[in-house]
Amino acid sequence: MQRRRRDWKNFDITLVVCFLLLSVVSLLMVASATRARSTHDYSVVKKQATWVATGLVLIIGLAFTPYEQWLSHERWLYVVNLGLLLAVLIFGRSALGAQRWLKVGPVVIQPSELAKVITVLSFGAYLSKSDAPPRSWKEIFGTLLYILPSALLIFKQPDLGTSLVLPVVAVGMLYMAGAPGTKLATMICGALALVGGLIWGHFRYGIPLPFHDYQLKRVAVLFDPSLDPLGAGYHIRQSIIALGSGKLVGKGIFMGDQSQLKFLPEASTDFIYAVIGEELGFLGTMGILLVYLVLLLRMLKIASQAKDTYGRLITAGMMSMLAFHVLVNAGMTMGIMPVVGIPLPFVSAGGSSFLANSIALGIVESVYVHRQKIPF
Amino acid sequence: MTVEEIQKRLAVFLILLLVMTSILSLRLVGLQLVNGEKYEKLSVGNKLRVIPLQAPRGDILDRNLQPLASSRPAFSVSIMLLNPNDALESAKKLGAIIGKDPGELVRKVQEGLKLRPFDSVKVASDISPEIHTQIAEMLDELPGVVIEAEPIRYYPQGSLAAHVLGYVHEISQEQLSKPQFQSYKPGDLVGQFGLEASYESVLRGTNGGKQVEVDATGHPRSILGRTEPIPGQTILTTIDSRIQKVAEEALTEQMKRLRESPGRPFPNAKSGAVVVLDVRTGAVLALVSLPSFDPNEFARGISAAKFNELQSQNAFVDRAISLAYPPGSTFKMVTAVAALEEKKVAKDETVYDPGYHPAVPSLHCWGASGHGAVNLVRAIKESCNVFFYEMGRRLGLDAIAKYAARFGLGKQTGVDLYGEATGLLPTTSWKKSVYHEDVLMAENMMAGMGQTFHLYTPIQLANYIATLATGVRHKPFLVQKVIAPDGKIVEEKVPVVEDNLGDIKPETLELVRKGMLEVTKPGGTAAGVFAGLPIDVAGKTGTAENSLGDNHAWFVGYAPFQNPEIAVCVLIEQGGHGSSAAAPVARKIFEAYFISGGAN
Repeated sequence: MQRRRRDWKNFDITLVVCFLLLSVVSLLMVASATRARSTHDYSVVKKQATWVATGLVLIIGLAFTPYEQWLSHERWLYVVNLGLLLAVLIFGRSALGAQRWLKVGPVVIQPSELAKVITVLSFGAYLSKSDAPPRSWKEIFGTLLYILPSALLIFKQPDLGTSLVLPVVAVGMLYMAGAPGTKLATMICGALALVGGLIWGHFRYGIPLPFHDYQLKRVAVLFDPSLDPLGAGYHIRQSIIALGSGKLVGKGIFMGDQSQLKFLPEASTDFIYAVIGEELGFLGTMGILLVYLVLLLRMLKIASQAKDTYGRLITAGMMSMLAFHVLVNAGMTMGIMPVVGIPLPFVSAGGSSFLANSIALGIVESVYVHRQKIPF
Repeated sequence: MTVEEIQKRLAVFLILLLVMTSILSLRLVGLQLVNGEKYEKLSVGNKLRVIPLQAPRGDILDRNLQPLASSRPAFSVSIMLLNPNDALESAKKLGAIIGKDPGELVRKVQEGLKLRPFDSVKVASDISPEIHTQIAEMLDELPGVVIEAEPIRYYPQGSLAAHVLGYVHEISQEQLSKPQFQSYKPGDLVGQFGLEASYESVLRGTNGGKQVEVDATGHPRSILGRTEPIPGQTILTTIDSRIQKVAEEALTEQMKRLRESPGRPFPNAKSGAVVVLDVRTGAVLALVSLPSFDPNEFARGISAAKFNELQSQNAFVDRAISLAYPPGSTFKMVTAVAALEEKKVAKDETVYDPGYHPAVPSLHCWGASGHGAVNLVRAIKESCNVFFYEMGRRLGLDAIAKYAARFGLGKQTGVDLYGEATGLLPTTSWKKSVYHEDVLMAENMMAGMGQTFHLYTPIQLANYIATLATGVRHKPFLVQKVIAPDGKIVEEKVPVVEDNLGDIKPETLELVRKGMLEVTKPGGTAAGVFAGLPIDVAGKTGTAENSLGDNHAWFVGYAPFQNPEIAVCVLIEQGGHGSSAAAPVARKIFEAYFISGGAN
């Protein structure tokens, strides 16, 4: 009992408060976006509530599980991750043209969501085991090969958004590990320039690319909406109208025309931020953004307090992952990021992503609980 | 890594997080605070649609309140242009259901998207109950598709009086650009012909609208406002559908008989016209033009093939008012009145007819041996050409024209339909301006019996006979009352007197009328046709020469001789002789009016 009490005292309450705030917003907005009040169909909301409860249990459970154990299971994590992704490729369920789901008994899971978290854990272990951080170009690219198989498998599903998360997270962790910042920055800029150039070349000169046209268009419409005014352009337009029309205080929950009348596609999942914008206004969108900022800054603080490199690396990895999700998802609803199907952490309806993010939070919490104790 | 290095790198992360939050915040400020009003307007524009509620057109009734044109409830299918992809997809699927070319529907939708992206496009009218059920069941798979109740124009008597009624059709691009159609939208129905066109503003009514909130699939969710349409006003016409029907049938049968006549067939006797006027008021009791069409076909959406077929028969030309023909001998009464009034002939004066006119021997009479000595009454009775050549010679074009004008010949009668022809009443100045030469004597002579230059419409001839019968020229009219939807009479027409022949001596008119009566009596040109008819008919046959084919057959007349009530004009294009071709049709009309139906 003595030990348990001390653990609770060391527990970081900010992470959980942020989690709960986002969860409450999620339940309200999912209810609104699925028009639960007018259809009397609360099934999606109820499911989401189950995820919230399960997520909370996962956070607390993982918080008191020493995170160091993942370090020793690096190989297993890697194998399980690839195994799940391969299973999706072979046995997976398709929906909307992509094969992303795996049915295990009554539960349908999306291994790519889980893969992000597992990759952080295994890649962190991989990095922290080496004596010195990668410094040369060769070392950096060599390290990145570690995540290539999972990224390719996810890309193949196809899930462009999630496959992009992995390199971003890897770069964040490399930086935290001490890889030279200038090289990493050069790499990111080079990749962006290459992708931009290839897409431009594809639409302008028909350069063949191993992407579906709809994926490329989602990126390209950001710069030229006339490329696909009816498809990707339509989504962005409806989303921007939803956000903008919310003005300062919003139209009120259940009162957003864009979402209630189904003009806004994927309102409860990818575009839930637009629903928040329409129904809760600028106060709502800024409020959510600030909750994320607090959460991310708190994670940064925890990274600085971690007792070892592994703890610091995985915290930085989880933080990069969540930050990238927020940036791309919110940015996409505002028309400044491509529509790549990345959910808004803890808010978008959906179990796999919610639980994967909960696991991330639980592990960061564990880093905090097991941090270097500074004697008073 | 040193602690300092770690702190430095954490600071970089901090900066990145702050930059990210700032970018997103700035964008939010721009979208929600700076441009919020703009997007709010767009959001409202997204969800509100106005579904037009078509006002039922006013009915067209005959003089006995029988409906000639009415409206019946029907259903039409439209596609809302909310989401362009959905609309095009639905158009493709609908094609198969309603049996139309999907490509055509897609084109319609694309055009609508260009012109009226916030509106809807009508793709089918008057769908069958089966199709209605089929679409209603599939509505979930047909985003944007709405079934709307809509009144459809309906002509219960089919093609009866088609040229009087006309038809309605979607407004054309050309019409839309005209000022009188300012209040019309593309896709609106508009009267294109007949009374439907000339009384368009009365019949049309005022369309209403339903403001609905629609969801992204284009299915109406709730009604926010509704403006009821105001039905059009009813017009009560002067048409007697029974007489109209008798006239149409008699003319059709007669033309068929002529075409199939075993002795001397008239294979081109395919078109004709009948006009029946109430001589006391100018009211049009029947107005027939054949070949005809069924205006219901336009309400349903006529096929191009059917339209072209009718077009090639000139079925859309109202021969009773829009075409002018040489009047032939029906004109002789004008010459007779002129000659008597101008004192060019005495009441009992005889002209000797040896079978040709001695001055111009090439001008024959129709009987080779001639009529011998004929006076005016007998000249009309037997339609002696030589007598009228002589009158023409004595009168000249201008004196004839002076009296022809009094009977309304050579100008529009003013009947309330569009497209009335003026015809041609020749004068010396006209001859000079067109041919740059003086009138030849032969032309004066021929003008006296209705040949050369003269061109008149059947309604002009009918009105001329009515004027001759009463001594008063009325303006023919088709609509007697305009009645509001609540039954209130908005407008009631009173007969309009155009001219009063009071300055013409009563004896003159009586003498000419006597000649016309003799026409249907033993020895007259139409004696056989009218034998046994218990009322006295005053008439005149006409056989107008036609350089393009067989002669045109005319009959004009009025009855009863005492206290005249109706005037009839019958024309059969290329029907041959007036007496044998046209007169029998007239007899049937008189019979229908005076005997089988009971006079009114």
